[in-house]
Amino acid sequence: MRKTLMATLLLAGGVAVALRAPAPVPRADFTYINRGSFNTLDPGQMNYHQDIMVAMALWEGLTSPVPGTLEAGPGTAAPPFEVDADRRRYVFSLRPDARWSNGDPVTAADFVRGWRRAIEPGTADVYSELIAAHIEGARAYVNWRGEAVSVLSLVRQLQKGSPLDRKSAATALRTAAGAALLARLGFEPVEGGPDAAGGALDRLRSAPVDWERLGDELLDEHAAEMDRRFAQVGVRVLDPRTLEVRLARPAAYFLDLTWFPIYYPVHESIELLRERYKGRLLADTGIVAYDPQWTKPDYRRRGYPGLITNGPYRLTDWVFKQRLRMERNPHYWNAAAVRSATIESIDVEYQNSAWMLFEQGYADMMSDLAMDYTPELVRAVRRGLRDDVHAIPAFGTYYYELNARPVLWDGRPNPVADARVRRALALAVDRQQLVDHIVRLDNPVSATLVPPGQIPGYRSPPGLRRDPDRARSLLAEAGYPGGAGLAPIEILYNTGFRHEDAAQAIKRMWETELGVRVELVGRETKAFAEDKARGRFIVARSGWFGDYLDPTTFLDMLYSTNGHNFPGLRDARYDGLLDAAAVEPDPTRRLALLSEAEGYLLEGPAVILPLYTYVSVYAWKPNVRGLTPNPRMTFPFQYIYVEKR
Amino acid sequence: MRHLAGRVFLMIPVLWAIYTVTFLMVVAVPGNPFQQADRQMPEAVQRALEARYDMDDNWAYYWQYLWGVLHLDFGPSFQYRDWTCTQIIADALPVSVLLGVSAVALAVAVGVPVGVVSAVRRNGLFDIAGLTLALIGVSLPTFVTGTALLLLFAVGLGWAPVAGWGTLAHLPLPAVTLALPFAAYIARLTRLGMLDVLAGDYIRTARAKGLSPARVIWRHALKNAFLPVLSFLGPALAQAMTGSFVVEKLFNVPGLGQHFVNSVLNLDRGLIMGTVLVYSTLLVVMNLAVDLLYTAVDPRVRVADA
Repeated sequence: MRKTLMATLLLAGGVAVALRAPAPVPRADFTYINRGSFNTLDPGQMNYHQDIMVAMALWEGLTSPVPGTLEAGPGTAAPPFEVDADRRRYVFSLRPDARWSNGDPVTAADFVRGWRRAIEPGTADVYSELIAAHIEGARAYVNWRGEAVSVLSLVRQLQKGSPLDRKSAATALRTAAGAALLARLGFEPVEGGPDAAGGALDRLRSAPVDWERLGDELLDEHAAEMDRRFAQVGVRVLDPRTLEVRLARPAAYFLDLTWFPIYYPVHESIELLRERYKGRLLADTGIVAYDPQWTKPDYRRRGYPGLITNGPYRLTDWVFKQRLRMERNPHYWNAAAVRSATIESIDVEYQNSAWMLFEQGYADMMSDLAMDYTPELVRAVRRGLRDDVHAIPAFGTYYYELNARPVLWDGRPNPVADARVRRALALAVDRQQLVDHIVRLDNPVSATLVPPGQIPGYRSPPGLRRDPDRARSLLAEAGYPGGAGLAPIEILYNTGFRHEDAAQAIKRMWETELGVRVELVGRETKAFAEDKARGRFIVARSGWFGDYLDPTTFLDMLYSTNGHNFPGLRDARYDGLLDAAAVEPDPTRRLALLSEAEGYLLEGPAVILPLYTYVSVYAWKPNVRGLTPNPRMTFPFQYIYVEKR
Repeated sequence: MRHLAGRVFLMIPVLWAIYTVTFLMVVAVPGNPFQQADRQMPEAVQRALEARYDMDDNWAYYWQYLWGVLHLDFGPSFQYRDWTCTQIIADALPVSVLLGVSAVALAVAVGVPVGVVSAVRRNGLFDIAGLTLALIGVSLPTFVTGTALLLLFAVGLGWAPVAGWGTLAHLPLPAVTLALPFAAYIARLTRLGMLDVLAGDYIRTARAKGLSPARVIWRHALKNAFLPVLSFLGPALAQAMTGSFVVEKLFNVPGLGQHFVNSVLNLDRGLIMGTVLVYSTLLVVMNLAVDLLYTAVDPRVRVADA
């Protein structure tokens, strides 16, 4: 008994030790509850809204967004910017007082470092496309690097004797770099499919080659050429404070892109954390890699000083999935205009707990309310019962994608392969009913992919509005009167988030209006994303939020070669209209061309079935000032403060 | 002593087997670990990254990762790129341990006296009330009891913060929520054990000797009646430390449970391996500790072992 007692006492002692109370941190001037934990603070790799919002407080691009309109306003570079007559060359002069949080001046080279990092294989992520697509020579550089990486990876696999994936090895060998490798070893170039490459692979595997030495040689040759190639990319240091940027083609919205995180500068201290292979600045496969912990304020490996940023705030504390705290950056050029000295974001995984914390006053703002009772809160606001919840139409559309391929992934004929069937499905949908009874957040219904009325100067086409009679006659015209003879239509959706309720409602509409059979296929998020990306669906749920205020942020997705063209649309007329708009110098005519493209997309191929415009539901206390709601819910933190009562 | 060494030695193949089985499942599960957070990665870069982590060769990856695990290096998190799995686990494990230990300590502190009194006043009002409460405690899911406690003490009375972690005030609500089912079970175990023991000859002897009833009950009877509770404590501790996912979520406690569940949803290999291994080690160690404690408390086990 005494021993048991002793063990209990020991346990109690352990509890007491573990509970040693940490020094309480005073509440930040502005505290908000994040909609989800941060995925990364690397501005070159982030693609979640919560990450981007914090990055905008920590860093600053050449420009920074004007609150509300999000137009490009003064940033690290001081306007006016020098723009050539062909609108393809920009010259930016950096402010003399633009400084990093450690006091170093921000230089043009810091921008080149950031942009280059953002497109290098290994550090590039989704948004690298915003650089690759717009900066002259960037695409060519990325492709050249990618080919080299694929060949170097193959050589390293041969070196280690790892099992080889024939398909990717064949792809690697068919590139210019692959052909050069084969020629160097005295082999024939690879032609034909994976089988032909298989033969080449077998020969490579049995060749008496010192793969490690060869790999190192290839890496050295590649590294030697890298900088020469990068010099072709349209971003150049004219002098430490002057940056020249050349575009691949004129882009009306280019300046708006320059406040986006992918275009941020990166401080030179990151080079301390660059990973090396035998002294070289590249990994053995040719990719660029950094110690991913460079974004921590207190990371001190190899003399690294911790994260250094150039924005209104600097990062002082970041505890995984708990909290992130920022403090006014004393070296920021406009530090006097920064309202709140400290900002804290707290992570709350469970929505109900988050709402209770907000209600109890632990936070001044909560983003993206998604509780079951959110619609009731929105209703209460409309009835004047509360004033702290805000439903703001977003720059995003909820829609269904319809597969355009004649045959499905598993060999079945595609029931919606005929554009008339797809148009009939679009015409049979009652969007208002969906919004009123399922979503219930007063979402504006939308028959267009680009949210109507949000882009100045852009006139949305009508799209296919509800017309059940025309839907039925189109279906009959396609050979399925009353839905007879049409194979079941499957709706693929990701489980959760009430997507199933929406799919049920659509199913009922299609079944009653058209007599077609509809089946629901719910998949877990990852599997859903994979299925959609590989075109394994007939009809799939989708949603898209625009990144910059231009129709192309939506319309480019359906371009034949775009990575987001999940319906597999290959339409020369649509591509042609987008191409024409891309080179159209007159902004009005350009937007008219894009409107024509969207109208054709929705009413012609009809692979996109828009349903409604998303609504962002945010809550903030009535004494919060300087928070500027807008469709993208992007508001710079430096203007926000809590009015003391 | 030899027994102890044998038991400790046996942990190695057990943990290795767990490592192997988890590894096989992680590798076999469909889905691409690099395709995280809506990342679209060119195939060439993905192959290069796989080569970097030896993931292009599962056999090499198995040994390389095991070597890392032996050095407490669970590799990078593919979902949360700015963190290593070891950091994430090192941050979360103490939280889960503290919460679990507090809950079980609380459960013992409440469950044992309730069990004893119920047994002594068998079929009395206290016994029936205790049994009913215990039944409720065992059967109510923690998200119901937790929400009720949250609404009452945090929202209604404002005695405790709604959610979060970091100060003493954050501990009671989640600990109580987590403790309830354990307390109920311990009360029932103690009651049963006491009933069994109280009928024993040595208790009658003790009473006949003229010992005070309190001394008989709390010293002589409880010592033996506590044994089943003791053997339950091992799995209970492990379960409280590892099974607190719901409580963590409800009270926003940054423990290991959420990472365990999320890592699977995210196919975050390092974090799956790390959490599974940490949990299994906890379970194995706890069971071993209780067995040893049992030997120390109950002489009969020692004799049998010798």
